Amino acid sequence: MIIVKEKPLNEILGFLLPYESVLVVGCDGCTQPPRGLREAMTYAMLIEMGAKLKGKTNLKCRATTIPMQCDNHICSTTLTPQLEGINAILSLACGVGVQTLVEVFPEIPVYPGQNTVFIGSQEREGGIMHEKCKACGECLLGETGGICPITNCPKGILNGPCGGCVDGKCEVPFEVRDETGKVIKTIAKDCAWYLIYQRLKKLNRLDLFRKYRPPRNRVISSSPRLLEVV
Amino acid sequence: MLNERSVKIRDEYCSRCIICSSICPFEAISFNRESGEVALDIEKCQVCGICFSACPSSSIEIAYYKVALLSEHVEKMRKNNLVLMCRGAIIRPELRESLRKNGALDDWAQLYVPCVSRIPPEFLLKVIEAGVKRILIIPCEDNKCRFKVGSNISVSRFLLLQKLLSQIGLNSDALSFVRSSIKAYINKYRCIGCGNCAYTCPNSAIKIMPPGVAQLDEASCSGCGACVAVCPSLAINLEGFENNLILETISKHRSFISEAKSRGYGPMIAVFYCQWANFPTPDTHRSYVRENIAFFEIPCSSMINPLYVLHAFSEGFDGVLILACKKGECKFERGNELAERHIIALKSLLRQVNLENRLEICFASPKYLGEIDDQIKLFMSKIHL
Amino acid sequence: MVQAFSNLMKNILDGKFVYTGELEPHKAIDLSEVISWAKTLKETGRIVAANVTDNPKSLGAISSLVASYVIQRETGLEVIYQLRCSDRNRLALVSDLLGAAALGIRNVLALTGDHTRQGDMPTAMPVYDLDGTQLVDLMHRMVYEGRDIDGNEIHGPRPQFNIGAAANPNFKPLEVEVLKIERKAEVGAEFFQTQVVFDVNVALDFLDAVRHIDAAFLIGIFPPRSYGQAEYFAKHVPGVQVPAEFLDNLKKISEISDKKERRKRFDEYNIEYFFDFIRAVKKKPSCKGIHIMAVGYPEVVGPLIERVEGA
Repeated sequence: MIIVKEKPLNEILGFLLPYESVLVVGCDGCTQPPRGLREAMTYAMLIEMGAKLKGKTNLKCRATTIPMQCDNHICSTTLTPQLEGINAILSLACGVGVQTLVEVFPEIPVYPGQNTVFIGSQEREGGIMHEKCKACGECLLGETGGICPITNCPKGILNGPCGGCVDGKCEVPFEVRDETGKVIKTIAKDCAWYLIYQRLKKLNRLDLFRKYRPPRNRVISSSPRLLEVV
Repeated sequence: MLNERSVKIRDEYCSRCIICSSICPFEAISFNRESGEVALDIEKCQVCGICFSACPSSSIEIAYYKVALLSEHVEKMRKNNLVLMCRGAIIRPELRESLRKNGALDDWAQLYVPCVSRIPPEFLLKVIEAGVKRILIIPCEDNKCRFKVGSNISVSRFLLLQKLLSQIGLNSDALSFVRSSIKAYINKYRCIGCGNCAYTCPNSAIKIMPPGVAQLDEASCSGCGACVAVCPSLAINLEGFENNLILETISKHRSFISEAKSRGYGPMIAVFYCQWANFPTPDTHRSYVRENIAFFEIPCSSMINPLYVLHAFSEGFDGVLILACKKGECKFERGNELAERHIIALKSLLRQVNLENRLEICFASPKYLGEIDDQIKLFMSKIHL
Repeated sequence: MVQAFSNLMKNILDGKFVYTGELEPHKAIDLSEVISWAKTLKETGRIVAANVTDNPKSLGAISSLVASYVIQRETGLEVIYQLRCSDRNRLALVSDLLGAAALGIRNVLALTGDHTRQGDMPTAMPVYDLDGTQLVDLMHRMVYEGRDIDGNEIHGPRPQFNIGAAANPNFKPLEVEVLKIERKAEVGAEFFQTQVVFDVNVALDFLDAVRHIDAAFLIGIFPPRSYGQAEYFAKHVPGVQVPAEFLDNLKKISEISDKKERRKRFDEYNIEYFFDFIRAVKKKPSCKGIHIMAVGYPEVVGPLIERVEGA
């Protein structure tokens, strides 16, 4: 999942106050938490209320959603009929969706309603999102017992654990933040390389742990990346 | 100060038959053999009314759904048909159609009660005496009763009554019953397969099936609506409490708001109440108004979602209060906790437009009289327009 | 085959038991304090080289390369230039290493480095283009192949330094540490300086566990200047075990009211305790020396070594 976090309403209002007719576009694709029709409607109403409180009474929002905002074909076919009279779009998708809309509808200003945070998954019970993949382009999981050191080690090192691993815990504090960016709690996270050691030992593959891994070729993960699909 | 209890045992009339104690599904009534005292533990009581309808000496008093009040209400309506249904029950389209066919649809009085088992047989007799030709009773499904045994008790009771009535020569359809419970239903074309519903459902009635669409096992669904609240794509609705229906009902209060405002009432409050936390009587509609307050019934507070709240604000309400059951009293295990989480999340959004104090959740129970009014008053005092 | 470019490595290869010290320059341009400490170490005549720390704990400080050079020039004390991966990508590492070689620095200690979040500029971008092991690999290629990590040739003479790396005898389980050390030794680490050890048994177990590895091990010790310093290690440096008896005795000494007497007893006790410690580890063939991290307490170093070597 692409983990997103809603932008502060004041920032969104800052984008939208100059306009009168705004289309809020949800995305049914891979954003987590999901940003479908209900979220779009919620934001449409919140924006109208917020605009009113700022003295702008003629800002009207319509809400809609599309299956995947990152697909320019879907965007163009499903959204084109809904753009009558619209002078700005607020996208609730990840950064990919926002940019796709910009490409498909170059004459309409498109604004992001979300901050795209990382690729990860949600721990349902605690409600915490965990980053899981850095899209490094050279997946190492086969050698590390399925635990990603690029993502889970704050240093992203290939020959860990480093000296900061004490009693299996990482030296770096993992901070959980609220919507304003304030740290609400700190979690002592397991050292990724310690977990890798334990897992490979269990799998009787300590040879993989012992192996020296040469420096990564940073070109593979240098942005922007292009990939040809045959 | 504690409010007055809504359920009381009048010791002077009690014959010590202890039927109440043996029938109470929550073991709230105890009988002390030595002292002969029959005591009600109000903390355990869930105000289902089963004891009230079972008591042969009418020594149990319950503040809601007094027989006289109900029968008066039905008599006043002067209809030939009466539909008496549990709040957790639903009139499905098929049933509505058959009612329409035999002419009942234009000629009925409808009563919702929290559990039909609280209705004593004498009420039905009184109603028949008053001229009602046909009575249709709709209890919840067997295992969906919010009060464990209420549905079963009422069914066996009505079967007995049916027999008695046929013995005195009354038509067999004078008293009939159909069991049905509110269920959720999923629009698979809208579903985005996010899995929120499957995770939230307290009965594990929803599974995400390939190609990534939620599938409901109707038999397991208890109709709480928790899934509705977490669906980001409005793909789930609850029978009788459809999202559109709720939004329309809210919109219908525009004239009420302008009228109440012209009379100088204020601030305007919308209360979304869990149908098991508030027992308004007589209960004929799933929304009602009083002074500056509009009440909207939902099957469980966990069904509350930002859409209803924001819609209420945009239609002109100044404040929205969610009324949930007290901790440990949710009929769906932890619906009230879910509701609280939803409200905290929504309040953090509203904080950003300075409307945080316009939304609140409170916890009350029908076992104390006036508790809900106190909560509403407290909420109103916090709203500064 | 390991070549000795530094006095440190010459001594080790000659079979001498070596002592190294530690110098910590601060966030300042004035190096006089650290130079005076270096002079004290030099004057003992027993310290063969001293580490110059590189942004320890990610607290930003003066360039360790500059400090290393100045110290070596001003005092004649050979330095072990510490270099961390936290703050430099492979280009910067190569540049600094070439610079170090050009300035006559003959020992480099490769470190992954504490995370930048731990330090005084936590908003910094942590680099970690390479990790400590890969830095050892890079240095080995520079010294023995005359190439950088991408295979580009270094013009003219090859840089000449001996390659050090860090090890931690306190790590549990020790198996992980041993595998890491094997990895580092495989890519070219020639000597290891260890994290602080207080408990002699920890050091002895470690030396046994690494005896199959072809590298020189220098056990790190930290004679505490005060009871507070020892207590800090016991309470706030996770993973480092401080024996209760050692702490108790230090506490007793710290309660002496006469300042001069207290100082004297501290020095005496440190010397006594670490004399026993060093004598024990010295018997292990894999132990080639002691790394004394007496930061801000250089005066204990000379007498301590005298006590061991004189005995």
